[in-house]
Amino acid sequence: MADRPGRAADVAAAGALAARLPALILAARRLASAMAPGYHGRRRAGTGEQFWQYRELNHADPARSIDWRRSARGERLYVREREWETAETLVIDIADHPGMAFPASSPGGSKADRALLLGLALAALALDGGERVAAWRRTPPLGGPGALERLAAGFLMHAALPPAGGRLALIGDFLDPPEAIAAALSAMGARQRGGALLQLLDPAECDFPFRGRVLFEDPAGGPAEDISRAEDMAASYRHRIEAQRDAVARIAEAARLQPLFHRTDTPAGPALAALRAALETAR
Amino acid sequence: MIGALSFAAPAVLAGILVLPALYFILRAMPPAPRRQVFPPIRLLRMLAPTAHTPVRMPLWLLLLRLVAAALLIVGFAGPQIVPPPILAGRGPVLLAIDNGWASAADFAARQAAARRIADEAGRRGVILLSTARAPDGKPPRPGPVLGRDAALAAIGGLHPEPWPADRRADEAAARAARRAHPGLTAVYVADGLAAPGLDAFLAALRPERIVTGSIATLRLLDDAGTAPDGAMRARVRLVPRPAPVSVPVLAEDREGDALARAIVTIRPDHPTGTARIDLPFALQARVSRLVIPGEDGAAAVALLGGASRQLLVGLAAGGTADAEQRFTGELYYVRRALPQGARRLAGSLVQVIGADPGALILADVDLRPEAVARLRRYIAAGGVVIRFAGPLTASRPDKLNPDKLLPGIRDLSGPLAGGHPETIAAFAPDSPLAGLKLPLDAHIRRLILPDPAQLAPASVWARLADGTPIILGQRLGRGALVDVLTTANPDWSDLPLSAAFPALIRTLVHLGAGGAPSSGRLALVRALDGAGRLIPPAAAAKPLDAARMRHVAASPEHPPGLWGDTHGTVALNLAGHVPKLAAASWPALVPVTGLDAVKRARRFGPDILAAAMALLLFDMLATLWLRGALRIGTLRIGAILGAVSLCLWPSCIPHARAAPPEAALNTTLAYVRADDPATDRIVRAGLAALTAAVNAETAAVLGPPRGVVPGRDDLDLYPLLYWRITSRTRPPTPPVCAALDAFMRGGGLLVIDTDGGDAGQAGSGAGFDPGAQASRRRVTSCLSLPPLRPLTDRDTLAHTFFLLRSFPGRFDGAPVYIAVRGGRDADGVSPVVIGANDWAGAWALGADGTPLFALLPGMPGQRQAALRVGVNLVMYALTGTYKADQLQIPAILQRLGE
Repeated sequence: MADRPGRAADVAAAGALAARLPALILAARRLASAMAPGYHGRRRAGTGEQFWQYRELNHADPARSIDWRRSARGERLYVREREWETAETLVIDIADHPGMAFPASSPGGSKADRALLLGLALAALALDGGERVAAWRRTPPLGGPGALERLAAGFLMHAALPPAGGRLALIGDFLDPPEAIAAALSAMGARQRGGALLQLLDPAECDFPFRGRVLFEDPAGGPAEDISRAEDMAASYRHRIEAQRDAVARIAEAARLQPLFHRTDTPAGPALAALRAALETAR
Repeated sequence: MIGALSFAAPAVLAGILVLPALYFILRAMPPAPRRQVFPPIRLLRMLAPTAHTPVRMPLWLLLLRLVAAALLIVGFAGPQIVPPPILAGRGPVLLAIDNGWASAADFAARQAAARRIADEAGRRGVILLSTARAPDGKPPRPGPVLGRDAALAAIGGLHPEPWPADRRADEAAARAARRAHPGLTAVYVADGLAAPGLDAFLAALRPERIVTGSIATLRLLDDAGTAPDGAMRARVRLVPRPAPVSVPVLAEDREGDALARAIVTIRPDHPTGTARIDLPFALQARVSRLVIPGEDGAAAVALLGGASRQLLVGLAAGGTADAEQRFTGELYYVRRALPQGARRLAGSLVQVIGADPGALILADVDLRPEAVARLRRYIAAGGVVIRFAGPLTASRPDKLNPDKLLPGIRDLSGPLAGGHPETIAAFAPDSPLAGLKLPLDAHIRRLILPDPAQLAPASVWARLADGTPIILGQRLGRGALVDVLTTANPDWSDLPLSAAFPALIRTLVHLGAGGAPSSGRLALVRALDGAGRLIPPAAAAKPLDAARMRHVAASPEHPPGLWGDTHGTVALNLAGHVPKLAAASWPALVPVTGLDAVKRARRFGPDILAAAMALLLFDMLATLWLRGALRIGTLRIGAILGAVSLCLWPSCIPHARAAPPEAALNTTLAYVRADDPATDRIVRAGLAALTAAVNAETAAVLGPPRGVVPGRDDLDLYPLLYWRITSRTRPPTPPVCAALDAFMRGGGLLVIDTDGGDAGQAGSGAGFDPGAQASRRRVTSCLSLPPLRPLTDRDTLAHTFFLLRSFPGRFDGAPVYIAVRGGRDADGVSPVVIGANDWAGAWALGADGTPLFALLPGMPGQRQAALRVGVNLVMYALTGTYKADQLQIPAILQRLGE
């Protein structure tokens, strides 16, 4: 989440991701279109485009709000009221640290792929519903035609903008120490914004299917860990990862974010539905 | 033998000292782990202190690697067991090797001993002297001084000869070698058999050492002729032994199958023993040689003359049709049924009998009285006459057969006979045909009958199921006369098509005395080589006077084998002229060594290295397993891959049986593939439309038309071959012409057509393809076309299905040609039709079913008429002259009306 210097490898990875973006956007649109139709009107008068009702002019109304066409048919002056519609902002943050690229070569794709797919699909849903969507510190709130493409390009940029206001949708693996996660959430002002936090993990990270002697390497470049009998560690590791999940869920709830969990070997559709439902209730 | 163990490179063994150091190095170096990127490594780090165990190489893996390293060191050091030296002195080594017949049985052991000696001689050089004369007749001669490798190769190239060693020439060769190299050391690898001149040879050779095998195992097999009761006898000779010896002898036929087995028992201190071989007479005729099983060499084989004689078979047919015509000719099947080795001579009866064949096959030949007398003399002198019946003999029975044959044909299955075709039910048990497989697939439909009142029962060799005689035979003088009462082609019966027909013919042609030629010059037919196999004769063999056969000893000029002329063959066997077998006596002071005492150095290095490699391979697998890279699933995939790669070995793939060609299962029209695709497309479309029309209009069911290349594709499968010649058609090559000629001769209908012609010629196609007529003349000039005349509506072709007045195609008016009556085949069908109206162009339809070409002049119904021409052509090719009588219909109707 912190800014990283633009190394050559990163540029290459970003280029590869950019090459896949059109397909990813298409997949995201398809995923979004499988959901129920987008956000509906709020069924009360407001600042929308759609006609809601006529009512008589009161004193507080400015003169230019009079609907002259309707008023000319009778003795009284009428005001045309429009439906109240929300044009809220959704801020999506997708973790982009090196660990997200795991597993590097897998038919199911890496965690980063799945996270980007879910993020874009969520953005597509929100844009269809008339909301504005921003990538955390990467784009200003965007809306209207072409917003999804600009957003997708924004996910590849470095976080350089001031944060935009709006509900949060955080997608990542959240494997950092719980205190660090809590600090990051409070730095984002999660308590004031509300939203959802989706922790997604690879099955290998959940189940630890390794055997024999394995040298585990740190994707971020830290010291490697040499384990002589990996199968002996599986049970205690699984306890650890459960504890991490619980800790992340607790922190998210404390920060008024709805905690969600997703394994990348399960379909993306339910995860998207859960995200959307979580964001609806967080409104 | 451990005491004799030495190392080729002992210095390498010092490497063993490194092993303890290797032990500590390997102990400190655990196997490399699998690397795995893992994002939640922070969680692992928190656990690590509990699960982290000190990593060290397992003890068994350590020991495995140490053993592999030790084996590598020992293997490269080259441990070997070297036997004590057998050569003394200095200077080149003269290695004399007996390679006469007596050395054949253990020749491989002799070669091994010679190799050992050459190996030891090394740089001193080896002079090879093989003591038997070469197959080209050259006497033994000492070779040049060879280095070790050249000497080993030359020893590998030696082989035993089927004649004895030439001791006199050997003596001269030994003297020559002594003169050329005074300081040489001689070693003699001897066969151990006493022979005249051996002592003189030894005196000239002065061997340092004699290496010899035991002659107690030597066996010499001879054909002892027949016993008074006709049984065969085999005689075995050997060096007399104090104990009784039993030698098995097999009687084999030409294919090498054992027909009988006898045990020859030789009493103590006797040089020979004889055994009877009891076989039924019919089987005895099939015996071609006697062998001692398990023994190599010409001495263990005795060839028999009579049964393996090379036969000349004369073939003659009556009638006027071509007797060699494929599938229908009188002699076509007989010629193919003759045994493999037999030579054939076909012609008129007079020509054939003049060549004095061993057997004579007459297919439906009616004989004049003087020919009958000539044939009687021929049979009495030992010839076999096999006659097949037919329409000619049925109408004019002759007096050749003492059993009278009745004139006329008995039809077993015709519409008026009411019966059904019969099969041959039995061969008479006392006839030469007894024991042959019955041709159960052969149905006899017609035959001629013998007069039952004058028929000798013993002369009936085969009967049909209802008891009718079908094959009559009798021995007359030294020969035999056989009457097969049906035809030699499939007109009257399926017998010539039967799978048992070749066996029947083979038995019959061998009935004659034919036998051993007793006079004249004999040529070598098949020679026996030193290993006892029959081989084609070598160039050095000289003709042999048959009268002197008994006095000829085996030599390169007269190798053992089968000698013969047109009458048959005589066997020249080795055993006939070998003097009494006795062990040689050696000079007193020369050490004599057995063959098995001469051993080569045994080297263990390669075996030990192979074991080390196997251990290292196992180590690799074990390491993979330790790293977790090898799981049961991986092993299973590996096993499957291994099996698959083994299966790629050719023997594992089941041979796909060649499917019969589509055209053989389905009657199909064909066209000659042109050079340009456009013509092919038109012709294919035309024939496809014609095929559809024929299928719709007639009872014939044709498959889709095929393009063929004559000479490459089999044309026999197609009744009609359409050839569209344009001005661009290139003249065909000779093989193509030969294939087209064979197609026309074999009963096919070749339809030649052009796409128009020069301006100014007859027909509406004039000017459409200038040069097409010249091209047609050029292209067909290599074909043997019959004389032609214009086709008219009075020809059968105009009546075969539709009644045609003209023969239009895309054009109309160009003349169509057909063979004149004399140029047609036996049934009166023309083999060729030549037109210039572009029939295919008129038939051809596009993909949408519309015609490809407009017609000229475009008369109403012209396309319909063109299609009718095509249907008539197909029916003409399929049914021949079946509708010829339709020509007479008007006359018949007129007569009926009156």
